[in-house]
Amino acid sequence: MIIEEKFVVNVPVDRVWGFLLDAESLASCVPGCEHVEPAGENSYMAHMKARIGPISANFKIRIDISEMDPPSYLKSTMRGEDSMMASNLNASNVIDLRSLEPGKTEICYRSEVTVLGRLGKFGEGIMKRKARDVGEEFARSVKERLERAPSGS
Amino acid sequence: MENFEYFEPKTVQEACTLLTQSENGKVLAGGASLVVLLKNKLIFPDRLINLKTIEGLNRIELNPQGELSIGALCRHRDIESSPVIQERFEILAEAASKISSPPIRNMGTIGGGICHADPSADFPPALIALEARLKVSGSKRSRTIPIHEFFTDYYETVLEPDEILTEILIPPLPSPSGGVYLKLDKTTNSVAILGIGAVISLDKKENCTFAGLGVGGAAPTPLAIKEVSSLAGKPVDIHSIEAVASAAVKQSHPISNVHASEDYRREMVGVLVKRALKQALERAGKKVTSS
Repeated sequence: MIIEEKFVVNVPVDRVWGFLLDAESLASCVPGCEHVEPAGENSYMAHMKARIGPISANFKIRIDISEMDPPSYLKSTMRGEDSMMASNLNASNVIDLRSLEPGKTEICYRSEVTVLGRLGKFGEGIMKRKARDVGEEFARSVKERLERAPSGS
Repeated sequence: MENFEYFEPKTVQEACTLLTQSENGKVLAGGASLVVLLKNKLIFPDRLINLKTIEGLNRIELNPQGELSIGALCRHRDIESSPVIQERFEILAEAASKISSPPIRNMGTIGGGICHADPSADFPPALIALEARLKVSGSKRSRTIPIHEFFTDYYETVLEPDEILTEILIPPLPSPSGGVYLKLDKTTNSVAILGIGAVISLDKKENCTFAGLGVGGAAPTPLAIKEVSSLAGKPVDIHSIEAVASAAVKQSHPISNVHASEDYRREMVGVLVKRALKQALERAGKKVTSS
């Protein structure tokens, strides 16, 4: 499934780029993402929790930044597994930044997510809708964090 | 299946207390939904609390005022075959008769189905059309919740962790009234692509006195279409039915899956709402007029 979102923040592109490369700040905007730790150059480990009704998933994920072109393009991959659910999650993410005018940046992101295993069997349509909600919440949090923070940070 | 503690309480209060003492205990009614999740290892409760050992939760009673009470442990088959429901609340017998297959109808309960909160479930649209209320008991308090306020998201409800649904209350329907449940599905045993419940009551002059409409499968929760109340106070004509149908389409935001696309579902909400309201009117004894 594909999660796409495009939104504008009233912050210069360099600051947005710095925020994206700060794994902890970025992870705090991803609903259910916890315990981010560096795992080598451009790699991170994290825990990700998700819930649909009575079903909870708890993925241990590895994020690798595979390509970047500062301050406008960032590509990463995400691989995770939930051993209780015998399920795997793979995602390929691209973030594009575009400076619309000084102090105003458009953020586009696109994630192609695959869930395999028992969770994958559980209604793709519902997961897609949930993923869209997660995407929207992420966009809201990023915008709020960036616009709230003083420009020096 | 993972290990869990198993309990057979004798009272609702005992069941609620057992829930409060557990991390993620689950209540077992008929098991038609819960056991599937357990067997597929999608949920791992630490406690399973079987309600079937509690007496009095499987009664169907009509009080002198015409209000119907259905115990949460009534099976779909009990509702489908109940003479009082067939006679006075045909829409419910119809919804029950369309749930899955006979073995499931002999196993699943109305309370279990409602609390599982599958957005495509058959009972909720019919119960919304009837303006049902749900009686819920908790360890410290009891409360009654209008069904349209019960569902919050896919498979989620307003129930607190210690609360158990005990009874479904259906207000009296004046005579003449007509109710219908329409189900769009691939095969007779399959899950609903859409489920529409519609109820219309008339007075002696054939003016509409009450109209209710519920739509399932079109959003993360079953939808109560409030615009249907605009039918009340006048004769029902095709234009007012069409206005309600387009309001229902506007409120729909379905998902696409292997059964049907988002666009198809939305389109069919309009088609089926019109059909259901017309049929409800006919069952109340009147044909829809074109003007």
